[in-house]
Amino acid sequence: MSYSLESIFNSASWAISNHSLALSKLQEQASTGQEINRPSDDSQQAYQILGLRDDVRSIEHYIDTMDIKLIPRLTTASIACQNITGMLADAKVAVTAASSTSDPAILAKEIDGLLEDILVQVNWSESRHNLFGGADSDTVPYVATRDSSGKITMVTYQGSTDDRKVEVAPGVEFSAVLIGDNLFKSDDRQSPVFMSADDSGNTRTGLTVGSGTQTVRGDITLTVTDLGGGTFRLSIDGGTSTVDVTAASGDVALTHADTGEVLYVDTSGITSGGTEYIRVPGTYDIFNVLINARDMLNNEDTMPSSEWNSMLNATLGSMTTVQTNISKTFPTIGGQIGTLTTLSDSLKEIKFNAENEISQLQDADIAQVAVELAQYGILYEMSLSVAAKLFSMSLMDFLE
Amino acid sequence: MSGLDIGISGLDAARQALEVVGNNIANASTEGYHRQDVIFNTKDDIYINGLFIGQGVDFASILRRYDTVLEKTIGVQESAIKQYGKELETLSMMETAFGDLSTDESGLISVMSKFYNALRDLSVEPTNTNLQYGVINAAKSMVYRFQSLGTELSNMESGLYSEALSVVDDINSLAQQVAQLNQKIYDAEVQGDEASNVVDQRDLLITRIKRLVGATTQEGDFGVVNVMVADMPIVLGTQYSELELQLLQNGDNYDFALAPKDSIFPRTDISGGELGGLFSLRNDILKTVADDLDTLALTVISEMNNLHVQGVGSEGSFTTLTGKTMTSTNVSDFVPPVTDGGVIQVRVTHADGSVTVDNITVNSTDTLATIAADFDAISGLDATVTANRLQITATDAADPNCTFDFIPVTPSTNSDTSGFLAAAGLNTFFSGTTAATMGITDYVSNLTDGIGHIAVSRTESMVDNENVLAMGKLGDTAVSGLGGLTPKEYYIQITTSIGSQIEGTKLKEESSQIVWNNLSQQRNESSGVDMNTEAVKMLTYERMFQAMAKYISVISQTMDTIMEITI
Repeated sequence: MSYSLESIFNSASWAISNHSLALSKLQEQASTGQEINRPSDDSQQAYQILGLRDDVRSIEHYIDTMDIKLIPRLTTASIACQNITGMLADAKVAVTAASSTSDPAILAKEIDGLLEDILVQVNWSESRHNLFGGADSDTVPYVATRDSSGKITMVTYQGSTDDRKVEVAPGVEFSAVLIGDNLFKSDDRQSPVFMSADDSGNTRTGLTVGSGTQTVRGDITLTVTDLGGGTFRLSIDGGTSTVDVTAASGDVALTHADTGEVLYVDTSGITSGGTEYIRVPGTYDIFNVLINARDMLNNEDTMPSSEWNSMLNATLGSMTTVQTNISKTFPTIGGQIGTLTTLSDSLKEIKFNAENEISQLQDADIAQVAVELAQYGILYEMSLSVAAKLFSMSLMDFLE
Repeated sequence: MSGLDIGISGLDAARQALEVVGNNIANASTEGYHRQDVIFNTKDDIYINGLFIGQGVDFASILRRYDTVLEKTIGVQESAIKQYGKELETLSMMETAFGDLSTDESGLISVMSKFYNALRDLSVEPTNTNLQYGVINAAKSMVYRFQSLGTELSNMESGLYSEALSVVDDINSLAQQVAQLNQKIYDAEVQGDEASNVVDQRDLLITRIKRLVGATTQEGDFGVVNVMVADMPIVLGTQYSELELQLLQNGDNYDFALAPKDSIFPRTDISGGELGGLFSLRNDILKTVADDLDTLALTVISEMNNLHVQGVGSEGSFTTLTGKTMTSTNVSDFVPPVTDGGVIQVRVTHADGSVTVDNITVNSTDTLATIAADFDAISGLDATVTANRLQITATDAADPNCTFDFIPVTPSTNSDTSGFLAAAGLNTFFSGTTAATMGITDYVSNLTDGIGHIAVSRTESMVDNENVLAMGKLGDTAVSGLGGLTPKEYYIQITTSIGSQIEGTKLKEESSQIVWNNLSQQRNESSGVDMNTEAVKMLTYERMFQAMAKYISVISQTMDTIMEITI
């Protein structure tokens, strides 16, 4: 079997080329620390690695959303709710002390101060994100209407009642906002109560609760002016808007010009003019309960003392109800924080496992690389040595 | 005197044999050279005194060691190796361009993730200006990556065309040379002369042709060889034909095709050699990757725009919207395609705060002008078409302060089932239809006026985040147009399919290389020059020459002796 120069050359160059290619690949693995540096190194593993890397990026983002944005906001909101509850407790103490003090106006001032503090709490914002504004987190959620002396007469919610969901895990959405109107307002509406009613239901003016959808909230002062001839002028907003009625008018709707709230009264038993103090249990929020308490302590409507005491007790009850309602937010918000924290921890574990898997798929076994480098290094040297030997030997060298 | 003739024949034979050996040794490293062996024949005997006496040796011929079947098989493997090598060259460039396993996270999958994550961030605080800038910047990075990949693939296509032209020129040049050598061989064979060296040169040229394109050969008379490429003759005897590279329209693309010059029957099924690799890349591999990338780009653009057109930004409803310049005003020509019979729901908020909702049905027979007329007919809106751009304005002599939008009246429904708004570029986020042409509309990307135009909301309250929440999920939402894969999964598939192709092509190249190595070894054994064997032959013929010279000397001495006797 003859062995031409070309055979020797082809064999030698093929062996040298193969071994140097293997060395080059091993050198790349050693310098990058990775076995898979490009998809063609192993396309199946590359597919898994790219997929896992993308999963890790998504998970990191979800974790950041929860840890950096949602949980801190909920924590701040929870603290605000705790502060509000504390302030309400202080207000209750003041109202309780009213019956035994000679100057309830001082207590009224204290409640006014608490009212202003609570307004600050509910309008708290973080990075220009209002905590209790619902989906409209740009707008200050609560706006106070003040009289000429700067005293708060009404607080209106102008935030959104819509929720805003964000994605915190694949296919999992979570509420990113708190809706103040839901948290700080009780919604256990009962029928309006005339404070002047006796056991038989007879009131000072003869008016009673009418049929219709009542939308008034909190305490209402109904003024009845006798116009003579059986005609009476009714108003629930101090005379801004009025309705003239007779006994034949039946059920009449009285609208508050500022709030738009409606009180239905039955005029069939109307007998005289006067002032009726009306409460609507289950409709108090933290603002109207304090405003009513403050105004009652100032006794601006000059209520008879028996009615004043009854109203005071009823107000205390309403404050307790409101306080209880706000306390219910603690487990709600706390539960949200707990859910997010647990989810965040789970995702961190998933991320850790994914990163481990990437490492197993992609990283090179450095010890093995070192051994193979030595092995192929020897083979490379042997190839060069054998080639040199073969090329150097020929019968021509021995001919004379 | 026959003794001297015998000596002379031996000397002559030995001398010529030494020349052949010398030629072998000289060409031991010449590419394409086949070993030549000497064939001696005994001269015819003569009958003298009842005996047949030999008359020496004849140098009969030179035998060129050539195995036709082996050579053809080696040629096939060389064609294959060259084709795979060419494919690997370009595939490796594509793999580097995509670069998704690199550590700097600059691959498209990484920037796509960042874009969709930026949208998710914005969903937490939709009116946050910094987060809106974040979305724009992330979008720009993604668009840039799409553009650079699309452009790079396009440049590769152009590069393949230039290279293919050059290869075809080389083939034509080699074919001409083969034809010329065929002529020389023919002339020599007809005259009975030896033409082994010329044959070797011709066969080497044919091997070079096979490295450039998959060619087949056919032996003709008097040593001539015909050469065909995909059944198209390029050398027929002593004549040659030139091939030319053509571009054959295939849908929206142009495929490589090869045909004899001025022929109207081009062939696209060219395989083997560098040209086979270029054809495979251009007509199949590169085209598939480019098409897949464009499909992905169009899907990303369409899915985002289909949501974006239905929403409003933090600036609220519109007073003016201007679409893009359309290449054709026929709705049936729009890209992405418009759904025939689809409906656009238009909400108009009038100065008195009242809201009216009108529906516009879009048919495939519509034009931009007819749709503009439909918008114009809506109370509170004016619509015009100028230079193939649709503009809708909320101005009306009777209602000068109204606004309009396309917010769905029924939540979670689609307010544009036709896709017209996205196709016409009205309130869209992305522009373009392919990877290379993808862009962001000025309407949202203008950082001075555009902030507040990202359509984050899609309810009447306009304080929600529903639209941006939905947009943020698009990267992980399966799309039927992508074979049921999400955009990110689809892209990973494109990238790893390139890797898979490279793996497969490398395996094929390696196995062809191994086969070629073995066949080459066989050829070297049968046709190669072994220096040791030639050295032995050289010694043998040298001794033969010396022996014949001695023989002649002895004959001469005997003749001298005879001459002395007679004197």
